[in-house]
Amino acid sequence: MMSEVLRVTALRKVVGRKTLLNQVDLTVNCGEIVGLIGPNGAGKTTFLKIISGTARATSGTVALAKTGGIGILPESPALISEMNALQNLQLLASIRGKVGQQGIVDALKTVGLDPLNRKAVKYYSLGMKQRLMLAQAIMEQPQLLLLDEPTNGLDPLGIIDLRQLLFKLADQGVGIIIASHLLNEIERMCHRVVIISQGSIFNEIDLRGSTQRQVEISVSSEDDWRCLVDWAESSRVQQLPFQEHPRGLLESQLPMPRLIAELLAAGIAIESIQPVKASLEAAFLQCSRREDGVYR
Amino acid sequence: MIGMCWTETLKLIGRRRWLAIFPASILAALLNLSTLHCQTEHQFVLNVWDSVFGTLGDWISFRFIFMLLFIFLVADCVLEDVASNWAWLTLSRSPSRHAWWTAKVVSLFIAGLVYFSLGAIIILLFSLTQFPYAADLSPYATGLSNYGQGLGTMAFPNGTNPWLLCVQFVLYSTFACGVFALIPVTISLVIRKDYVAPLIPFVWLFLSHLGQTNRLLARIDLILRMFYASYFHSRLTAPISLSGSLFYLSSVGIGLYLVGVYVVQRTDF
Repeated sequence: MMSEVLRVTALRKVVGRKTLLNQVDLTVNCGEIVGLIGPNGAGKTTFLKIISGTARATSGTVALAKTGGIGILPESPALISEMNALQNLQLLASIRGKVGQQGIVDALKTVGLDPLNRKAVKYYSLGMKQRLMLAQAIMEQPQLLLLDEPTNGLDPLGIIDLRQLLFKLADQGVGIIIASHLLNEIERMCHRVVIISQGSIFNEIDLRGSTQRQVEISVSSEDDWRCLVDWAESSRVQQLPFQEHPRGLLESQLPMPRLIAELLAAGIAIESIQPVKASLEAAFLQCSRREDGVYR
Repeated sequence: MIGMCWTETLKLIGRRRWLAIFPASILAALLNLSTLHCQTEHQFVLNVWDSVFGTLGDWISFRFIFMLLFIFLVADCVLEDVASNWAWLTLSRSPSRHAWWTAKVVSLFIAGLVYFSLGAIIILLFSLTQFPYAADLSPYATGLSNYGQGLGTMAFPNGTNPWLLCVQFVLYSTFACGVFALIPVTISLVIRKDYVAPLIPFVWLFLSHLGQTNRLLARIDLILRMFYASYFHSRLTAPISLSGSLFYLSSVGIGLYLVGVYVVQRTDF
């Protein structure tokens, strides 16, 4: 069993009459990358702030592994604009005194910044600032990384670098939580995704090739669709908007050849069938409200 | 803890806005210079210290230039940290919230020391361009002083070491300003509006200017009392004693610090 770096239990945060987080449970293991997605105002940043101790929970517990600290990457770069990259990191490193000059230089090199660059960070692009923020998050070799929108301002190469760095850190045993709106990136980076909506965990999806497999299937007629629903039990079939033929998402643990054989044996005329990865977008949309034709 | 104080202090004084100390100090010295030049017309022999202490000791300049500028420089330190997420980075690294707040308070006083030391040096250098250097205070400063005409100008004891006096001015001003700056900073822990932190001391200063008195400790003319209650005395106002003043300032400072300790344990950043 993997060792845990974080265990959040029954976390609740109430401000005034508004419940920002409600009975949130989450566990992050060593080397696991967990994505946190949800609509704006769902409580993602509040959740990260409570884990890091910057905000107070109304009730519930946050248990962190005893060794190692937390590295944080806030949504917007928090830097002293008049100072250069090295000075910014030295300033933050002096609080804990855990990392020396070499460690800081190494962190800068890891994120692709030049430690000898004496330019004040106010002249940096957003992408460079984001890299610098990532450097401050990893320089003290934390055991848990909290990243709030880490791809903000990064160009495609920067995003690829980030992804590779996170995989490397995960291999070293660092637990990582990424809050992001970029579903594609979350899908690529994370082992597991937690969808948070209106302060509660709405859904949790394992992206590491779990036993749960989804296929998109299109059948010849309405009768075939009804037949499919009966065969699969209605809870395991989700109808998608009608195109040329009735189609939908079918959850099955059967291998594809056997699945096709069984469907044909049940008398269902298949037009097309293909495996699909767990669709974050579909899951995400389920927790969103649509009002006046606009998702809220 | 030392690292935390170091970080907070550098964060506070590392901002470009601190350059305002240069024009502000020169402006204060220039305003005082016009008064001093009137005295030279009356055959008084002045030296550089008349300009330095005339500037540092002038309570109009102290209130409306040095104090206001200091408030402008530091009052938003918590608000800015929260808005920019810097507080997120520092709080998660600090051993406790208590330590974080203590570092904030200590950094305010260190920043005040830097501010007034720098101000005194600028005023001294500027004054050297106008008056000759002397090792002692002038006779004008120790006995003949009559400038200011109701501005509360001070007379200093004979034999006073001007360098030592300058250090005392800096330390006392630092203490007074540090305590005063704690008021908006502590309030900003609760009221997270950008304009509230600087507005309160501004209003306070102007109100205290209108309703000044040296008699009641509880009156809002805190600054006047803070400044004139040092060991040197004003000819025109009745000062409270240095110990009384220090006790008063310390009480206010400790009270605000404890309020801050209570608030930071219960607030979100």
